[in-house]
Amino acid sequence: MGLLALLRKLKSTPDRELRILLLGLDNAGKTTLLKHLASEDISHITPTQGFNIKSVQSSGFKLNVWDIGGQRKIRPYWKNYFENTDVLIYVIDSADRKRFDETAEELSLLLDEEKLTGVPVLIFANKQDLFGAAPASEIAQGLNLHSIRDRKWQIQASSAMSGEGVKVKIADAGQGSLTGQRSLFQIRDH
Amino acid sequence: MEQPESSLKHSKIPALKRLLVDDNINIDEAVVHVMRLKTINPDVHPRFNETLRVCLSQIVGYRQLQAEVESVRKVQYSSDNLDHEALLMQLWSTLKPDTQLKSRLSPQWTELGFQGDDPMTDFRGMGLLGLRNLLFFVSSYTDQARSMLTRSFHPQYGYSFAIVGINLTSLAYSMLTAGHLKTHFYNLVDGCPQLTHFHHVYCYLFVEFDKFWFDERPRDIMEFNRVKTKFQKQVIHKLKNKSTILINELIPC
Repeated sequence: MGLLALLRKLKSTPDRELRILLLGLDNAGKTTLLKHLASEDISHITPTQGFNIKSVQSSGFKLNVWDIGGQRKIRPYWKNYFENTDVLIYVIDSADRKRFDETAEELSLLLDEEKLTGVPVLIFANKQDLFGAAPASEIAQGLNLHSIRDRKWQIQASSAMSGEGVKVKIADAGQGSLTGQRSLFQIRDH
Repeated sequence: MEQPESSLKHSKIPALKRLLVDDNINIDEAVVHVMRLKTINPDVHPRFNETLRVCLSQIVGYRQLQAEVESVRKVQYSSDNLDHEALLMQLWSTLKPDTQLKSRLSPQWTELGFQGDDPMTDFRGMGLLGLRNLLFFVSSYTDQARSMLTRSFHPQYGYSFAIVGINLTSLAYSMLTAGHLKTHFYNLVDGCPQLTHFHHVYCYLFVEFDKFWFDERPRDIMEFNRVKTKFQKQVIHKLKNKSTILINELIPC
């Protein structure tokens, strides 16, 4: 069983290929997450200069996951990767409280991007293993996620280090509900 | 040199095969042992003994270097560790002797090409090895390092000096682990290579990468991984030539 099991209904187009964009501030854990999805070793990670891309096969789907560096200097390039994104994954270091405002600001800019209109967003409240990490509910509130009306969204507590919470099942968009909308992601631990 | 290694590896005699994996072998005893097993008469082959001794030291030495490098890499950078902090401050003062760092957490670190206010979060999977390599380079070749740092702010071809430096530690580390650097060390040292020799490989890679990057005229920094992969292939190709030693015209300060 792959890490990501996808169901058909997520995408209306018949091709079984998804473009997933991983964004977030530097040191949020994007590359660790990417390596987890690709079942690769996570002990030798270095800061991402530029971007990484990996194609992951899961349940007959091909996921093309784009992990773009989060350093302030590189953020102006994020927009070059928006086109044709099927799912945006936004990663937050839940223990880096000093930068909650900064990460909220970046996310809100992304949600205003025309090229990302309606693109479902999955937010990882990452680094839950760290002392002092804010719970996902607190982060959801801080980001004012409940006011999002124009797209499907989900927040998930995770630790990309331990693998907790990152085994995501993108489920049949017809079951369950978080916000009154149809739930997009179903999270499975191990 | 890689020939004796391969002969040992494929030997039908377990004692000879073991020479490649045993970390506690006594090289002099091993030489005597091999000569007895292979019934080599030292009077007929007077140089065999010494040659074999060098070969075995190099083979065992490479493995010991791998272990040493790994032990440095495994140490996570910690801001609670005064030694780590002192090394970091030394990095600052060597590259920016005329500028005062205003506080330990400061956006000034981006002037060295770290990502944000705290370099600690950038060492990640390369741990202390990333810092030790950087510091060795900037201390040994200060003029070169400073001019590379200045050039790394080029409006089009700029890159993040420290971050790229840490990624090049990863490159050096992976080449050591994969055995690619055997050619270099076997040609360079008649015995056990030391950590300093590894730092020198790092310096070579950093200086050569910098040249390679500018010669490639990348569209922007997003091309980093493409260019790095191309560079890596070229270095590995070079190391396939049995006489390669990774040296360049660096002038120590």
